[in-house]
Amino acid sequence: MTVVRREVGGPPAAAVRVRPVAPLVVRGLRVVYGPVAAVDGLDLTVEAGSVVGLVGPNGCGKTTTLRAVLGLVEPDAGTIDVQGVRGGTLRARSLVASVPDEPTGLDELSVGELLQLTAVLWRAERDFARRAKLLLGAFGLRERTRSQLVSLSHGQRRLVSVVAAVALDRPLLLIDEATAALDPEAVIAFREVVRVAAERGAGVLVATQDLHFAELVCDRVTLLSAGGAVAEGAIAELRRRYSAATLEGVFVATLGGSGRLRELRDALDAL
Amino acid sequence: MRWTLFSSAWRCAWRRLRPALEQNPLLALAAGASCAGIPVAAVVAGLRLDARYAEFARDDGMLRSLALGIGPTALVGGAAIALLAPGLAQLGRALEAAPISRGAAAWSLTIAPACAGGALLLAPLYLFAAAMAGIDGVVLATATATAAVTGAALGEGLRLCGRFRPIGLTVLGSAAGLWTIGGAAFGAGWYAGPAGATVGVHSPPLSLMLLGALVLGGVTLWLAGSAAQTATYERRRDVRGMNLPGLALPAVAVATARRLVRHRQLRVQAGAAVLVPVAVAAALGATLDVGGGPLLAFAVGLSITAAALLPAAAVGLGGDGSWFFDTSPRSALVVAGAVALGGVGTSLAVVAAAALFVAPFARGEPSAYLELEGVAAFVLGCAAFAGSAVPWRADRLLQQLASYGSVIAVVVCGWVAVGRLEGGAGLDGTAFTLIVGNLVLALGVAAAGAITR
Repeated sequence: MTVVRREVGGPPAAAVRVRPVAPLVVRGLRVVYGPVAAVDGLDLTVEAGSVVGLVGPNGCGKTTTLRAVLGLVEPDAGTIDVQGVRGGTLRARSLVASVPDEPTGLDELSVGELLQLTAVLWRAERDFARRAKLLLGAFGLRERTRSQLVSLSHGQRRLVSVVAAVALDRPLLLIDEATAALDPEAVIAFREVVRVAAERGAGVLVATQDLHFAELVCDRVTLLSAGGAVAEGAIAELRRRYSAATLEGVFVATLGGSGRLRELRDALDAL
Repeated sequence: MRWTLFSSAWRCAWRRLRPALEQNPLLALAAGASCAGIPVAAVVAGLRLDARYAEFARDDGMLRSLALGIGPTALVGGAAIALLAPGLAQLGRALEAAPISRGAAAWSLTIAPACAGGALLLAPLYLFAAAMAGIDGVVLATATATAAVTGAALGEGLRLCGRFRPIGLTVLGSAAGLWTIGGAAFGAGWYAGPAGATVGVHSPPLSLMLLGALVLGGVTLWLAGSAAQTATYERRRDVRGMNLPGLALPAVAVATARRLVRHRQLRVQAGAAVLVPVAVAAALGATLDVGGGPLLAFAVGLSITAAALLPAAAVGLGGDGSWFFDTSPRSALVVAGAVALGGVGTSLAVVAAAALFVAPFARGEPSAYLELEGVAAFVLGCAAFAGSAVPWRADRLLQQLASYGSVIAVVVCGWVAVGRLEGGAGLDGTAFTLIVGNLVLALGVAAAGAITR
């Protein structure tokens, strides 16, 4: 989907610059929980057709960022635009499909009912059912459409929420803890699904701690620490910048200097 | 260890409540006013009714009716508390495998918190009854608590029998025996159970001593029944009839109704809300030769009492699905209202089913059914409102008790308020009940939507 946006204060009407609006633009995002700034001054852009990774240790603000984009937490400062629409509004939410890290609850509904409810609430097009059926087949869940969610494993439940989100075919796809609870085969299938969603024009924002997954699937990566971005760029560029062979090397070079690994080793020695 | 477990449940409940009170001064004010106001209101109401009760208590038949009213109702309430209590599930995945004996877990996580929480809920009843009838009132309130404890033991026995455990028959038989002995000891007939103490055959101190012995027996049986339970696992189940309506509000309401009737604990409650009233109507019709409108009202009243849990549970289940509903591009008011609608719709269906099956034993005039519909709508509207303030959660015993308490408090306050309007409305009783009941239902659902969002 391409949306035309006129830039405020830009050139005269005859020479208006027209460009597709990015699925997600975050500027100066700040979210404070009590005395702690969970996210502090974060800038982030997800272009259409690209996969952006949010990578960082536990508690660095990945999930909070996604929740702010979804309007589930109120930012204390900054702006969020979803395809040119102010983030958090119902209109913005209708442009976003998300995969939560813990899709628990709704235990008593069947897989088919959850997908139907998704289609109704997000006003999905008629093609939703076809896409969902194809994706269920791809993840080996076609036989489980009548199964209650409670009877699925944790990984299968995540795959059902992946199916629902990807089948919605929205301009922005948010994925929290991308590979959590997935078996290796599902991770490979999921990786392909994310790539295809991006190739179809969606912007994908993936929060993950799986550096190998991020390296294989993301076009760009933002490394977060204590709520702020410590490095941002294309993976090849980051590797070059930090003279690292892998993203893990970049991670250690930027975030590993906190001394936590050394502290851990000292603690383990003291056991 | 028992104290650590017991106090952990209370600490967790308080730490969940505190931020809500801190963030919402209005809620904190309402909670404070309730804590201070309910005991005072209970005493004032009791003092106002003392002369009427004294007149009422002179009639032995009326006292027997009172015993019959409160005994089975408290029995069903106690059984519901025991059957719906989450037990070890309260500890969460990380601790549920802890090496704790079933007896210790049952005592620390179910029986002791339920008794302590129940005592808090019963405190206003004690104040009301004592102000109304002095020591006889204390006997009445204690009889209610004893019937509830016996109901809890009965519930554990039923659960064991449902799992084809032979010991279930022993627990069930012992609880039934305790009930019968209680009824016989107080000279009010087996059917009244411990509530027969209200008839006043014995002196109040002797009645209280006998009730104390029955409470000890009931708690022991409850503990034995809980300790004999084994862990159960949800089997893989496929479902039929998956199609949902194409509009958001009915789709969420139907999905909520399906979740309620498929929920492991709540489907037992919904089933009991139909079967128990039918069994009670059949038993009372056969043994006491009563029938018609009064028996219909009593049996359907039991069903309404049991079904009143479902709107509060619907809100709790809706909260479990917040990861899904909160991210949807639909107004939170619509989603929350639809969840409340699903809850009251399910409850009304349950009550209608009970009325249908009770009819062969106690047939009433058409106006009696209309009046009962109005009463059901009133109670369920209040339950939807109260449940949105304190939702019922499957994994939190104290929140369950608080939810029952809030439903009872809202129903009682609403009943008193509406009772004052009845005289000035210029309508006959049935029309008034029908109109006000359904109005309260609509308001309750709307308020639930507004509060929950």
